[in-house]
Amino acid sequence: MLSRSYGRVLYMTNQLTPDDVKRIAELAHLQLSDEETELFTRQIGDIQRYAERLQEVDTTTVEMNRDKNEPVDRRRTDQVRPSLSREDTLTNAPDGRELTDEEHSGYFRVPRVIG
Amino acid sequence: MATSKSVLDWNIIKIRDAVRSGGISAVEVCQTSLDRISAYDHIYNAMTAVFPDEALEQAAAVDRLSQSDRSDRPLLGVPVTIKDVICSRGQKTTAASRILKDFHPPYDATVVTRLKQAGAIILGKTNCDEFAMGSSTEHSAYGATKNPWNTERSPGGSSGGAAAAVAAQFTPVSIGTDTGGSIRQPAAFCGVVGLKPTYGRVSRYGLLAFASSFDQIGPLTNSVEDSALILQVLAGIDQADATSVAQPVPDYSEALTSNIRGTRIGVPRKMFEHADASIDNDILRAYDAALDIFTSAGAELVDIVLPHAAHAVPTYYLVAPAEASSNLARYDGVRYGLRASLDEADDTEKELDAMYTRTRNVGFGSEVKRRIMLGTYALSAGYYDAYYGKAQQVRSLIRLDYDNVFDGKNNTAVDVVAMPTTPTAAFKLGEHEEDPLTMYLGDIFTVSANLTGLPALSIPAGFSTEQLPIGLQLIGRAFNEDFLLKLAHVYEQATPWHDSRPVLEI
Repeated sequence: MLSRSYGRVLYMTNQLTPDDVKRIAELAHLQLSDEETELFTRQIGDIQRYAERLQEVDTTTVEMNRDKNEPVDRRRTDQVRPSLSREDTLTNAPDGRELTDEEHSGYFRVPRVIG
Repeated sequence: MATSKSVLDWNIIKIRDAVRSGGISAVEVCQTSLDRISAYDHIYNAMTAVFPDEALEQAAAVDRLSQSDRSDRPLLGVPVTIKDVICSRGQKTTAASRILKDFHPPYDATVVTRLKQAGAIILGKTNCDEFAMGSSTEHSAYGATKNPWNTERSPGGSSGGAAAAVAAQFTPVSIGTDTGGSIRQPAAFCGVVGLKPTYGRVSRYGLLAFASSFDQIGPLTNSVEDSALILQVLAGIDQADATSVAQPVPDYSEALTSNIRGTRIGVPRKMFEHADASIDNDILRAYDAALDIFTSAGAELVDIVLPHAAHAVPTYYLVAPAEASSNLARYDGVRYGLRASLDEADDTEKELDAMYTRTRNVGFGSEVKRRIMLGTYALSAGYYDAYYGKAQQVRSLIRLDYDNVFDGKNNTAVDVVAMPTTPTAAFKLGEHEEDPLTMYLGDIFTVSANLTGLPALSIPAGFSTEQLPIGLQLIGRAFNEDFLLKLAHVYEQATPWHDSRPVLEI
């Protein structure tokens, strides 16, 4: 198992800013209103400050998520097994119900990707 | 309140045996359950969907089974409700989220398949916090569920609908999920038994994932005996879930013997003094009384220290949201659920990106957005080592704390750790709206079992001065559910709590 040391990490003293929150939202494909940005800056800042206490724990020699039980290698034989039909898979497509079989041609339809 | 003659007052074995012998038909049991839901759920809002036609059809099919098929099915004719994060084929499953509005899963979760094969009748889906994120069942697109003991109180969460459905006797069992306490905390708040099995004990195939290294499926019931029966059906390896484990499944009902003499119960009292716990006196009083019951039955109390227990909440609230932010990336409006329409102002060159973002904006509620944000932050470049990495290391230390108390040398080992399930009884609806962190702190006693993967159970242990239920939690060694159930059963036999039922409003 990989052993990595994150034992000595500096305190994250820098305050979370609304710009940070907007940047995180972008990474998460979320677009926040000004109100939400303000709210999340405060709330996530609170949680962040609360979580700072973890920095007090000495983890110099500790692995990430160590489990005393060895992970089991779960292989199976390479056999064809039943899986979802294309039809079943497409029944929940967001515009699947409005489209005929011919229109979706067995694929998910998305807005245009190239201008 | 149900009259004592109601089939819904019966335990699971009694229902099953009566259906098996023809004393009552599965259709009659099913109809009684459906009637109760339609009489009361407009008050409690425990259900997100009810499937009366399909349920009655299933029940009728059970009634037509041959005698030999009947004796093979351990849950013959038993009505069951399922948390709205567990898929059942063709039946609306939404995770209480707008983003999965009208999602009809094309397959059954393994637990649903197992329940059906056991002869159980699936009546409907129960309310929960959106994507199981929350401890109050207020963060639901369907609105909050109310606690059957007091409608101004939260039933807990995220399996609040499940706990309320069992407490209000809609069905004798409800299947929930537990990522940070989501079975045990609502069980405590609603006065029912809630069991989170060991990570890997029950297949999660067909569960809408929240945090994959934590999530586990388990039962909420009115008694330990009923929990044992349900776990028997749910437990076991599944080829469709590579995290399920091949560990043999013991006979859980047979394990419910009365001898606990010599059992060593770990009491982590130092943990209760921690400022974050801010534990109510009522809870401590019930806890001490429960310990007395165990010592009278011949168990021995051992003071233990879990040095990293105080770090469990921050650890959980960094790692679980990180996993959630990754798991919920799949909800983007392409393959299922909601797709937001574009508007004129959207940049035509970026229509696809605009569709993703708009869909997620409209589809996710505030708590889910908050956790996706928190998780994305914890995983982002520059912060990963300090937050996610550090938290995963502390998680290892928490696991070691438990390894040490269970494997302790020099005769210090304990068989089980007992602590309250929650620091307070059910809080008021809306109490934590402004300050999510205060709600997170309430998870102080439950998250460790998820961080470590250990099995844990909450059992009714009395009432607060405000007549709200209190829970006692038992945490055991990995795959030691049989032992936890036995201990809880002994406690249950010695106390009246599990027989108390709320008086429902009409």
